[in-house]
Amino acid sequence: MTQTVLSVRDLATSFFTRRGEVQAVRGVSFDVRPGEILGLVGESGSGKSITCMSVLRLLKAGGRIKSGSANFEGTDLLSLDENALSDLRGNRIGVIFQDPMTSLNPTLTVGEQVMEAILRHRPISRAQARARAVELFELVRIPSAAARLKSYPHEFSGGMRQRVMIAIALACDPKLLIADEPTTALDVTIQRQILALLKDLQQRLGMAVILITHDLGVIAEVTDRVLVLYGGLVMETAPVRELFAAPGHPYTLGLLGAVPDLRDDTHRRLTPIPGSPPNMLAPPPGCPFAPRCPHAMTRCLAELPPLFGEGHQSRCWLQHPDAPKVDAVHEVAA
Amino acid sequence: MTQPLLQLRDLHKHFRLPSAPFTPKPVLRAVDGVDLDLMKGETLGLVGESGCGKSTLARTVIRLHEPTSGSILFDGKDVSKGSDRQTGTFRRRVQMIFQDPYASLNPRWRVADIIAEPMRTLGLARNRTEVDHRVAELLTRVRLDPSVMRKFPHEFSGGQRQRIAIARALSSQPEFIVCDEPTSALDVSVQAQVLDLMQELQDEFGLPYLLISHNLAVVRQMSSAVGVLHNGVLVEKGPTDAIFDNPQADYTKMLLDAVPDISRVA
Repeated sequence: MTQTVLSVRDLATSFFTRRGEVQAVRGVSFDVRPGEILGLVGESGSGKSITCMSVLRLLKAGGRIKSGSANFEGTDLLSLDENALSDLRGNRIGVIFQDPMTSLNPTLTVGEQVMEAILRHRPISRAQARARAVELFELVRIPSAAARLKSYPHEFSGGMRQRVMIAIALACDPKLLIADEPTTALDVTIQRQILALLKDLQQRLGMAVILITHDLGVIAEVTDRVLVLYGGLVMETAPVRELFAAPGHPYTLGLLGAVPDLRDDTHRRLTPIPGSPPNMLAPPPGCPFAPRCPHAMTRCLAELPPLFGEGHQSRCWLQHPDAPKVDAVHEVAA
Repeated sequence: MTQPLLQLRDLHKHFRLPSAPFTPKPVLRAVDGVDLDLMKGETLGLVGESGCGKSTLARTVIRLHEPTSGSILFDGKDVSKGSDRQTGTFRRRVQMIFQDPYASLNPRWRVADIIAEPMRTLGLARNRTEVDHRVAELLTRVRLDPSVMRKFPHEFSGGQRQRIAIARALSSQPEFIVCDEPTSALDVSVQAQVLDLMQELQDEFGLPYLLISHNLAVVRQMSSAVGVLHNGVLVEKGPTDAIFDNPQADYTKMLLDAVPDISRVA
């Protein structure tokens, strides 16, 4: 049995609003292994960000973790007291948020902000912290690192700010890095640099990374293993090659058919997924994708399928051992 | 050879930036000498990174911005200068679909009023019955149920709102539509629905689009010709497949190479 860095079991999180209970995450389980990049992919409202924010217990007002556990290095993050958790966040677990324009404090120099992250967790002097900050800036390849410590966030471009965010996340050599849409707000050329940097740092520092994204291209190029989320549930999980070679869930297949391909010169029409994502105020009793699924059966609408399979798992009745086999590979080729 | 519907000739749009007192104002050359042709019934894609001037160009083309210099020929007639009366029916003949369907629809107006506004402003319908009839027809055309016309925008999802925006754009029966990042606020499964609708409308009515997007895959999928914009300058233009399969400009090569790709699975 391989050890895991983070082991999440049956996580359920809801938001209690005036209109009722929004069941954002409805029983998500996964493991993050040492030194791997795990991708969480899904559309907005699928529960991918809420899953990670629940693990960190950084939910917005109204959000409550209803059940589950998140075991990180032998402690359950969900039952840990707030002080002990604060000692872990930004220390053993680094976090990068989506929008580099708003996640830095505009009134402090970036150097102050990196040093704050170090001094929060390390009993060292300011001079030592400054030296470490320079080291971190060099690590994330910010040119003339020592001089740039004195700059304010507004003096940096989006890509450079995201490098500062990565430097802060890495300040205390985390074992696990959670990156929530780290490149969504950036241009593609800058995105390429940031993703390459993340992958390189992950390999050099040997940390595990959870990468949240809605971009299947990013998933394909960067991650080792993938969770596909929809309606607050894991619909499919597989090593990245297998996911793209033989998607096991109609939702994954649907996503692949709906994404335009840069290298495709046939100008074939996209195959849109009809309908819209489920309303999480009243999620359907069966498979959340069933109302949009071209293969849906009566059972799909009534009863939620479990995850079938080992290693490559799919939450679909078609994957039931007794179900007639559909060869997904041929469907992709056709 | 047929004449292009829209011709941009050496089009410039410069902005004067604020500066310290008694110093000359620096000039931002957002669009810096662009030549482009849009053929009837075609989609012309315009790609580039943020700040390259693609949205400014779109807004200048439909004269939400006054061009600094250069000409915009629409059906052979220069519409870049002069009042509405002088440019004739230009305002009626172009429409725009904006990026953010959460911001581009008036939240206090009912869907019917939103869609009818261009018809009313331009005096294209004679009476209320006719307006209602047209609105219902437009809603059907964008695959929404005509009964939704009494609802408000907040009752719709992002994809549905963008359909409403398309219906509004169609309501003045334009001869071409400028689409500024029409799907970048949408999820992929919904994006495909909207792109599919746009293609169907084009097939049906031969409607040309000027499609602005930072998403190169979307532009490849939708366009027959492409222009690549960088710092306000058109670095490359040509037929879509030629640009994507055999880019000439270094900038285009770099841009294409940067796009994450499913076929490059780890």
